[in-house]
Amino acid sequence: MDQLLTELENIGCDVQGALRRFSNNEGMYLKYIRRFPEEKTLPNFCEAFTHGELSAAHDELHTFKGVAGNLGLTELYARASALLPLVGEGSDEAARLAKELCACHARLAAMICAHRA
Amino acid sequence: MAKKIICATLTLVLLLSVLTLPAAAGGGRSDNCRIVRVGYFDFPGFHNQTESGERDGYGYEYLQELKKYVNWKYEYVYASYDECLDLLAEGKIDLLTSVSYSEERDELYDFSELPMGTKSSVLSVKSTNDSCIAGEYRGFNGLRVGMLSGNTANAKLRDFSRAHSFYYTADDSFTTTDELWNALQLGSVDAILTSNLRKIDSERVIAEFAPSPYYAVVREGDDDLLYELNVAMEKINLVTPAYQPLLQQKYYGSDKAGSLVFSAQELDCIRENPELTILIPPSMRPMAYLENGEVCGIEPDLIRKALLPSGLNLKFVLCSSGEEYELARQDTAAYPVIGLVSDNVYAAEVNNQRLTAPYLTINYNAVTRIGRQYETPIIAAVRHEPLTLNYVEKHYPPSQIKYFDNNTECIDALLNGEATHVIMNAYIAEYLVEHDLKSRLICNTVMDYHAKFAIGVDSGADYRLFSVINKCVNALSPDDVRAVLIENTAHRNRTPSFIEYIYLYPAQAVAVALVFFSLVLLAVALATRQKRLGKEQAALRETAQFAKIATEAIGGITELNLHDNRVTAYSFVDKLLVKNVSAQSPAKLAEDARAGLIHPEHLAEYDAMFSEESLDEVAGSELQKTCTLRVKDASGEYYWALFTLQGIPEDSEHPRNLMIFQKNVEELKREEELRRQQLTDALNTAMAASAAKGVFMSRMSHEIRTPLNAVIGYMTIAKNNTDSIDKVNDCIVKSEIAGKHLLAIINDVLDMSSIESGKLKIAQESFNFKELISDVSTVFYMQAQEKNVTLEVVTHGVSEDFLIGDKLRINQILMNLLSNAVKFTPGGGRVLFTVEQTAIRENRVFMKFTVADNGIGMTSEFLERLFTPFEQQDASIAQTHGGTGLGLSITKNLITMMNGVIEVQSRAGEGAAFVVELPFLRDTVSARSNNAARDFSDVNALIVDDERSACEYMRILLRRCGAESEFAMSDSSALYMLSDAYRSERPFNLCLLDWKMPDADGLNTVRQIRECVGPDMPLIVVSAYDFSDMEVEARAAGVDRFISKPLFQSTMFDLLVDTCGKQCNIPAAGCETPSFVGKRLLLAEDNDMNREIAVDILAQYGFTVDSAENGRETLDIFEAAAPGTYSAVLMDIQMPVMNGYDATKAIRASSHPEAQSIPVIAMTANAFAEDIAASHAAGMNDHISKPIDVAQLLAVLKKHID
Repeated sequence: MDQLLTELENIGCDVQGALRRFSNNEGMYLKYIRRFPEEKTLPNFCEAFTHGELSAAHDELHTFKGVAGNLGLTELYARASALLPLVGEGSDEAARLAKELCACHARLAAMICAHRA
Repeated sequence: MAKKIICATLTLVLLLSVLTLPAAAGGGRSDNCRIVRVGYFDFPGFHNQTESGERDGYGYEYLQELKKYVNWKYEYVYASYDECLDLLAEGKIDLLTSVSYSEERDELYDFSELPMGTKSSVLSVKSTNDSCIAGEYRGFNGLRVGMLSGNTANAKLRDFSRAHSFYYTADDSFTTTDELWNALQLGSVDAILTSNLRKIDSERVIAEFAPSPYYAVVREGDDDLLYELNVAMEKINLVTPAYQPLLQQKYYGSDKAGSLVFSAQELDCIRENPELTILIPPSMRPMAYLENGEVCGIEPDLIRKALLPSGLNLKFVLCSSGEEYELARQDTAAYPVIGLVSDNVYAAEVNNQRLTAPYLTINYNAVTRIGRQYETPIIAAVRHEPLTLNYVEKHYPPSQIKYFDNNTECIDALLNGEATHVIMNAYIAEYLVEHDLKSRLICNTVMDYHAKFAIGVDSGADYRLFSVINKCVNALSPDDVRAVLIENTAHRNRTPSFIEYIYLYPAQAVAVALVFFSLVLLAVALATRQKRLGKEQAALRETAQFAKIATEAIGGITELNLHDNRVTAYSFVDKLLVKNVSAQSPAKLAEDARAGLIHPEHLAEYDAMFSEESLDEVAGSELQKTCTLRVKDASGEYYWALFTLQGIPEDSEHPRNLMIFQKNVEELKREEELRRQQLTDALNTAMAASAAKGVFMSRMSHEIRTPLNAVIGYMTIAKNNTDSIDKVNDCIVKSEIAGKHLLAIINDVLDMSSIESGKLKIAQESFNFKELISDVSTVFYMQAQEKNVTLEVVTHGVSEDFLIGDKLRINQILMNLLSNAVKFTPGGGRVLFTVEQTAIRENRVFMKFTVADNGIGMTSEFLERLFTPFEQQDASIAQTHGGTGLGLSITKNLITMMNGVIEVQSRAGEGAAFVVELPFLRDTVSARSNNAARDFSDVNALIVDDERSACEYMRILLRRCGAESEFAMSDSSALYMLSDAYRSERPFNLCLLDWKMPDADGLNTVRQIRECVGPDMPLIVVSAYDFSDMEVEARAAGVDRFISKPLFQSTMFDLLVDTCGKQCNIPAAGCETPSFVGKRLLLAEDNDMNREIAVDILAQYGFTVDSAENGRETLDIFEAAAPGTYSAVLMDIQMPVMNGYDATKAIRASSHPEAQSIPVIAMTANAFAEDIAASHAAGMNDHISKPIDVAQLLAVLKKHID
């Protein structure tokens, strides 16, 4: 298995499940994983959220949840799922979760980029 | 130098002037001497006064010392210290000792220029207090410290406590040290602060700090007295520079024993390592020696005494030699502590040791011999000893020193005159002198040399250990040391030893010795006489004993005395040794034996050995002769006997004697014969095997060379005909054939070789038996067909699909038999291959294979050699039919290895029949799993075959799978039944059609059936023939599948699984991935990545996917698409512009022909019931979850698309 996938698996990503989704086509899966850092959904969410556009933020987050789920990025998926029902409130708790989600996303993106280099 | 002299001179002048100085004015005077009133305060150690009025103490003695240099007389004024200070200030006394300097005091008093001593503050606790340990300041916390009111030391304790971070409560309500001491002993305070000028008593010092000088003081302005005081004190310093320390030692020398307290770390160390081994260098009595296995002496005793308070369990190892000590010393792990090392810091550094304080001082004695005259002393010295290096070699030139290994050798040298002196440890020397029984030695103390010894602890060892030992050694009091020395050196009343008696009472000893010698002489005389008497009897007994043993070992012994013509024979009769003295002469006896006992064949040898000349020759010499003859035993039977003539060397008693030994060697002879026979047999076998190998090799060479020659020959032809491609092709094809033949031969040879060498192993694995039979048959159907030979394969009662055995080897056996049969059966002939399950017993299945043909057959002669390697009926056969001649040999071997049998019946020209019977194990596991849980009850099959038995056989197979079937024995009846059933409630959904030969008739039948039943019903052709040529045409006509005969249960089962898949209830997961090639989907998904992922995944299963980014776009694409374009729409719910619900509603409301029918499947991340309800309400058919679950996605799509 590709080193990146091994690392993803090590940090708790559901690589096997995702691979099954991609008919065990590792290349195809990797293609999307490598594209993930450029995926705009989460940045869009952050922007909308920070500007108080909570409805837009909710939609972006919903989409992002789907992306993370498809790619087997378990932690992001779980965080997005937890945040989703709270986004509309714009509460401190939501802000905290959003912050953590973004941090988690940044970490993962950095890890993937490191492998791309 | 000059300067020094000047200084000394000046000092002297000054001194003289002082001495001659009359007492100056001031103070009381009497007889030219000054009366000095001195304040005498009671302070134990400094000022003592006994009950009888006798005084001593540091202060007192110092006062007396001063008086040596000035003309003073003291008047003692008794008061407390504070009172003394007041008295001095008031002018009621003139002098006070022991005053620390302070500015206030400086205003009241005049201080001496020099200090009279140094005092420091002392913090002490009760000696029973174990919790406060010097240096462990944490333990000081919370101490209630009693101190003298207004004392300068109080501030010093405060500074000290800050420096060492402990806290205490001060009680400065005390005015005298006695009060302090009482309070301490009563426990009202934990510690007291005093000075080191007080003699401590039942206390332990836990801290001594802030040393400061103290002075003698006089009244301010009393310059005369001050001047004299200063002069006197200066003089004390000049004359006795170490006066103060000596005095200090005298009065305050530490009371060490009471102060031995271990720190927590030290206690840990003792607890962790309660055993301590101490190495003692080689020594002698009384320093260190072994007694009853225990190390005794001054050294171990002192160490024991010192370390007793530690509680350590001590073990001493005393080295017996310098070498041993040096070796042991290196092993610092085993011996970290050396009991006695020189107190030499340099040596300690070199040896990487820490030294304790010295605990033993040794003086040295020179030992000499009494009355020995000498001109120059010769010193016997022990090599490398510190004493030798430090003293002997420094005091004597090398010519006067003789070196030895130890003190004992030195003393020996002294005694035998090699040396005149030995300088040695005084204790040892005294011991030796005292114990020299002849009193030859005397010793004198060496005045100018002594040595101190300490305990050495390896620097690498636990520091705490050193700390413990050093503390112990420091606490060892001089009294303890003295006690040990006395104990070890005291003269004891000893009982003199025997030798000592001799020296003590020489006359008596001589008398006793004389008596003893007389007795010994008498005893020896008696014994000698007794011995002579017994000797003759013993000799007789010995002879008898020898004869017995020899006779037992040999069988018969005869002694011939040719001188006296006497014969003595020894033999065993009833296990008793019988001695037989014959009256007959040896010659006569030999003659008798020759006539009656010797086998006639051996007479010549007998004569040669037992002739008179021969006997004469041997007698009286050392000659030996042997021969092996057959002789008669008592029952008249001959046996082999070994005769040995042994001459007895001539002496006075035996002038012409010889012995004859006779031994029965029948058994040996027989064994020898047996061995010889075995060797001969082995040799013959080996030669035969070798010959066989030779024949085999030459045959093999021939067999291999033939096809190889062919290959090379064809290659040569090809090379010469490169322009003709046909020719080259022909050559390549022929080379290939020859090459394959060569490969076959080599494979066979390898097989044969591994069988012969026992390397070939028969596997025991599960295999599909019916498949194997089917595969083998298929191969030979083709070959037989090519040769126009009919091959029939018949199975009888084969119930088992799976068996355990060696599939490959069974295949090999059957292939060999079938290929022979086909090979040796000419065109138009017939080969019958029968497989019969003869029995099942427990787990064993017995199979019988018969391969019968009506070919050329074999002669009865050849039948005998049939299974021998490289046998073929004649050379022409190999040329005509090929083959290696190894096949049947291998086959037979393989069958034997499988515990089977092979039989053959044949007649030349009438064909042959090979019957093989093999046992197998049943494989119940595979059989069960293969047939597990399949339901074919929906299957209704029509069997078409013109042979009834075949029809019935197939029906049985189908029934076993749970499928219904009927059969038709002609094409017309088959068509009738098919069309009839087609209209009924239960139409046929499977047709098995026997097809004799791939001819046009068969094709026609297929077309008719297809016309009748349509394209859906699977139509299977069952045939024994190769269909490859007809396959395309037959498939075009409507055949779905071809199966080879013979048909087995497993084949039938597989067929049903494959062709009637829908009827079988296999879980979906087990099915092959469904293919949706040609299906087009419309996907609505707003996120790029999710959309692409979905497209990629769907493409994997054959879908073509069009995608839209929102509901509106989806609607537009759908409406624009021709009917039938899309099989389904996959709709994300949450999308910009128009969401999934709205889009679906719009689709359903559109005018598109498929507006209602097109399946719309929601893709939702929220699988809540309300979401699902909402999707249904919007007109969606189904939903799948996000993230995509492929299995669910495919199942849902399949459900809606098929």
